[in-house]
Amino acid sequence: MKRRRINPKVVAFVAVLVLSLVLAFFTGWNRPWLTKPEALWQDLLAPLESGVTTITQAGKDFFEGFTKYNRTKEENLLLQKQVEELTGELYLLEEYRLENLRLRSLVNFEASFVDQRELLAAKVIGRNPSNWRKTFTINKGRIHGLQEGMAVVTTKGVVGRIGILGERSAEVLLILDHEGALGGMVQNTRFPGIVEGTGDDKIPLQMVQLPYDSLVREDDIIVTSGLGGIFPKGLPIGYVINIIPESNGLMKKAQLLPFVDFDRIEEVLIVLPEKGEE
Amino acid sequence: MHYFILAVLLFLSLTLETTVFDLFTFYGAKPDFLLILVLFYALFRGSIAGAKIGFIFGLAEDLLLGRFVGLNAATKMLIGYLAGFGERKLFKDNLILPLLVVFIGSILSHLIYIFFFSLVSGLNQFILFRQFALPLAAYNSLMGFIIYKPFSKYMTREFTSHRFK
Repeated sequence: MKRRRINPKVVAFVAVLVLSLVLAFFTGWNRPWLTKPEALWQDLLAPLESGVTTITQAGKDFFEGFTKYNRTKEENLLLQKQVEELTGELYLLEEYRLENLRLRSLVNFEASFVDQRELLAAKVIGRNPSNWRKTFTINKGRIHGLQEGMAVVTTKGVVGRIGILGERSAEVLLILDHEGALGGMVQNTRFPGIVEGTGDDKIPLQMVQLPYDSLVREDDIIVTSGLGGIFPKGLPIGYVINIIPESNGLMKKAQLLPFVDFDRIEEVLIVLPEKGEE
Repeated sequence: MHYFILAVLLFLSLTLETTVFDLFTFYGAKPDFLLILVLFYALFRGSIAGAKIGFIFGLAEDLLLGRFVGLNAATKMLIGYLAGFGERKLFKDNLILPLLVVFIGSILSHLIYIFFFSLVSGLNQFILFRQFALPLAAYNSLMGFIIYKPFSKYMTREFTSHRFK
């Protein structure tokens, strides 16, 4: 009986396929290092991305100038009124702030993180090319003092953490990504839980592992708990829009909407470690 | 020259995907230019060439993402190989068949990717299939429609110049 010859090209094909998957398996979770070619490749694309993003943004701004003129006009009137109101409020708040400082020094309270931490601003120059992972690229990297795992925020709330680090660019792993889970807690009841991405565009975040009797209600604000050491305590994450029981009946989970509009982020702030901490 | 142009296409695709098309998503999906190019290339050059370019383009994408390196390479390689079976079976001037290949190829590659991802990560992400497959396939087909004519013109010229040199 004649043995069927196996095409060596097919053998090579299957071998490469399997090797790729093995490689993928070993480079999957929490890689501590980034190989030279990867860092080089990322840095090579970064300036190109930066240029195109600048042009796109300019084009978008230009056209929005026309389409949004009327809305801008109305908004302007409204804002002027608000400025007047808020200026008044500001004086009052300044009084409170000074009072707060005095009282805090009295009780020797720890200052909130914004006073202690140094922030570094960075521009978002590119988004993730795939539909699966939720990351974007910023124009600051190792030479600007960034380290893996540093928290990335905006003035509205938590964005994510530094993932893969290049020399002059870095990937930010968003909290929407399934790898970007973080410790959160309900702001008013201080009830802790884990906040993770759902992969769903409409309800991007959920807080899981809440005991059935836990005190979480709709419209509750969720802030970071500071557990895990990456994010400072008390940063706003999002608010609860719905609470659903888990299938086992013992737990429930809260569906959250984030405060940060992830589609429209252009600049972010990176929280540098406290001095002397490193 | 041929490889230079392929490299430029690779650069251009990755840059466009990470920048411009992030503003123009369709039901949350953005076009996968690398996939479209791999599919078309395989249609013109056959399975082995399709698998090769699929592997290289996929790897370039993987290296940029930095996690699960090899996942896109494996997916695009397999899809390039499969699309190569369409070589010679298709009339390359007819637009409908290549677009059908992009549409089906997108859905198939999406499925293969999620399958491979489940395999190496242990996570079940099949919920993403339902969410993305159709908008992704539709969007890719639209982009394929725009790309196909110039691509086909270039590939035909390349082919003849090789043959009669």
